[in-house]
Amino acid sequence: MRPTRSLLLVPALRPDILDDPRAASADAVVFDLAEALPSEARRRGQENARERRGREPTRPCWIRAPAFYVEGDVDAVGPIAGVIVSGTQSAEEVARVDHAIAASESRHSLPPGSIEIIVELDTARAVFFADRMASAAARVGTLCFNGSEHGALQGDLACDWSIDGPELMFSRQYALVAARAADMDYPLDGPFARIDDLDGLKRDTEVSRKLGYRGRIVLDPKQIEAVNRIYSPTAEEVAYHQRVLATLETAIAQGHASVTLDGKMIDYAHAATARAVIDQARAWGIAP
Amino acid sequence: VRPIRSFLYAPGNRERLIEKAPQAGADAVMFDLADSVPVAEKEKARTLVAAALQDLAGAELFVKLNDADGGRIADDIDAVAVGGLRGVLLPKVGDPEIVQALDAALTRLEAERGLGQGRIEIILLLETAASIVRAYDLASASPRVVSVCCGTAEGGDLSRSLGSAWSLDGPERTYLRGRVLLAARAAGIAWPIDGVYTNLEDQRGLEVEATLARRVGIRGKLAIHPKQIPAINRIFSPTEEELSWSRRVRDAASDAGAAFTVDGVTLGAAAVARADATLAQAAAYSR
Repeated sequence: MRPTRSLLLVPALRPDILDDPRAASADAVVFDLAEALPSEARRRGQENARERRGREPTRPCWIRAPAFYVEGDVDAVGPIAGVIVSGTQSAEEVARVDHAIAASESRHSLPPGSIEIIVELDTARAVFFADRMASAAARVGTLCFNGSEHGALQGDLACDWSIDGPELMFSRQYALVAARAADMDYPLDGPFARIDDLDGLKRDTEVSRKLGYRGRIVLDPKQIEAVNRIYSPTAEEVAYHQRVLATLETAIAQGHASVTLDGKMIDYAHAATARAVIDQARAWGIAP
Repeated sequence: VRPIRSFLYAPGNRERLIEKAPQAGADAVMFDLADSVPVAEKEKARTLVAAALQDLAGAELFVKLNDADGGRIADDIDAVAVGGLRGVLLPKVGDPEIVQALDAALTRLEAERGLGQGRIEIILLLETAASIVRAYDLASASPRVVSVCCGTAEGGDLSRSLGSAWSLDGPERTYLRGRVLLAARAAGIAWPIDGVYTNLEDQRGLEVEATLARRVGIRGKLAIHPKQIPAINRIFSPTEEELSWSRRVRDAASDAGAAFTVDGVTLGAAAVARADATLAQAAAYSR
């Protein structure tokens, strides 16, 4: 999974939100075919996605589809970065989608494994079995936890919703641990459904990032700027972690693998964390 | 069947409390054969509860069994598996095989006694560390399991099992409830319930605990005294605000399938399902 902070969800029947100038800042585009559209509408959605994909020379383009439709949608839309599979709840279902995509790759002479899967988690069962779904196929690039307000997961748990309250916190952390345990460097969070509430979006995205998520779905071009910024390391963080590396390097040269910086103990673990932050900053062009 | 917001405990050896319990306003009664009955009175309690199950038929009647380790459970169910019994509460359960054994025993008794097959429900009281770890396996051990109860009472078995402290809204329960609720919903349990609030003099504490439980998705609560019932029923019913939101969602969602907006929140099919469930629940409670 290539580093991705913002994935703009584009309704396949209304792709014109891509014409908004702010849409150009999204790290990836997702054509949403997740609704069980009538066949004629689905064909139109697929055509829109195919046409718009052709106008995206640099950004990864994804589709979002339920397991049942994946093969037909991939066939129709053509070469894409991957599929966000919605509504799956077991490793067996993910394995079936894996085979369906492999068949499509073979028909279109695409390299095997070139189309990735993001498993969307939006039921209690999916979250509970997230670790098994994450390792169900090699092409699973990451998990996307969808705990959006009044979304399917909230409905399934019959709980309330708040930005940093206890209602979905366990599930949000559980899914994160499952993704990280499967060595996924870019665990993704779902959308923030209050489109006009940019302060709420910022608060929610800050919680998301602190928990360990590295990107999220966005529903509207005006959400992209804040999301990209919050999931990027800050200049201060990069400067601090560069000092961590330099300080530790000096200490090691003098025969110590543990030293204090600004009063805090640092050792090899902190050096590894520092390298991860700096790598991430490089991915976004923030650090040299 | 309407979800049960409140269960009122009644000690199985106390005849007057047994008779009065169904009039206390609780959605269901939980006759206790377990910890509130002295060992010497277990047999008396079985007899009294069995009689009450016949006499009070029509009310939602449940029985809390003794735990499986004490060797009393076979006599308990032999006494109470009768027509008036809706379900049993199985305490201190940590092993799915115990649930399966109880299921098999109930199936035998239902067949012998001409009761509807698979009709007697099981609620699991999760109150040991093992029960939290194995919550999903326990909840999916039998189709009779309709609910799980996270036994988070102050000074109760679970906090002893974990060695943890207790506070009204502190961090001790965050992981326990989160894990149990996720596992229960993953296993298809529709109405997880909450354990007892032990301080009878602290009405505010009861309300704080029940409100927090409701927020995270718990649907009802065990009560140890009739005076706890009104607050529990109120807190686990849909609020006016929720009903108003549900009606507005219904109105806004007429356009089939497409996303729509209510109160600035982009909504889809899941919100419509939630609105319908809330309206249906309110209708059920007002009957």
